[in-house]
Amino acid sequence: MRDLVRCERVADDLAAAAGGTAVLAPSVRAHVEHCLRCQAEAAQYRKLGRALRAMADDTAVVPVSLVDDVLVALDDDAERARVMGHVRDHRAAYLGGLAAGVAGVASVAGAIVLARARRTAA
Amino acid sequence: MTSSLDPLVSAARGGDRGAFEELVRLTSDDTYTLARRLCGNADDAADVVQEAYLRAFRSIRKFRGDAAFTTWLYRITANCAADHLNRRVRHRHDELGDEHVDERAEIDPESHTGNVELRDQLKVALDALPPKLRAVVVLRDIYDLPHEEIAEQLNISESAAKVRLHRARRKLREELLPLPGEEDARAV
Repeated sequence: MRDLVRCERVADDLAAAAGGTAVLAPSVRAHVEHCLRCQAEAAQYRKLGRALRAMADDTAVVPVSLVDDVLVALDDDAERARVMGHVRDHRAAYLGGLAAGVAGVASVAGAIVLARARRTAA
Repeated sequence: MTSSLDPLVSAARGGDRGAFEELVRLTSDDTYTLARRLCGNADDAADVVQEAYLRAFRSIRKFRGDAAFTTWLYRITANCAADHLNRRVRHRHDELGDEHVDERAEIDPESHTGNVELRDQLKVALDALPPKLRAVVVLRDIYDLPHEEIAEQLNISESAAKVRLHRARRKLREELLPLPGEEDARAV
């Protein structure tokens, strides 16, 4: 029972040490050296590590349309950017024209008020 | 491969759209492979690849060449994959399903021998891992990224990255290479 508890405690250390991400503490190493179960577990982690590293040379089965889909997405993105650019430009022109129109109306109204005021004064 | 990309990268940085398209053709297999491994399924991987190239195109002029173009692209891909999976969590699609999918039916419990069988079973087991664990073990044990870079990619602490990595390895080892006694526990 005590050994099983000890094995359970070092299980995470074995997982950590598998890829060289951690070094076993002396007490853990001492347990592993005398525990066949933990030695077997360490060996399984080494096997798993080799299988994972070997996957680096594999390439997934790539969908046939992948490149075309990416290029279409780039086209769509460029078109969206172009449309948004037009909207921004037209909005700026519209607001500019609107401001000029308001200014024009305001100056005409001001001139009318001024003329009436002069007539009244006269 | 990297040296042959340099002229295309320079042209793309200068606004040459055709050069960028050629970069897509030359790098899409590896980009998709990374995305497929991180996402665990083909549909999400295809979406991630599209988003990765969009981001790369929008920011290609800022690419300084400190790292290889492929390294820069893979970082973008890993970021896109993380964002994509986080969006799925927020929308609560089938995240619970991802957590509890039991792919053991596809793994022949008898064929624990042979490297080819193990690699085939490993691919299935990786796809069945929770996304957060899968990302770390793929980036560390397949792509050999250092912990600090993985933590930065996934926006987690380095210690959190290590904990997830150890948990992922333990789940994979228990699934694919169970010790006597663990097999009995699985059968229950």
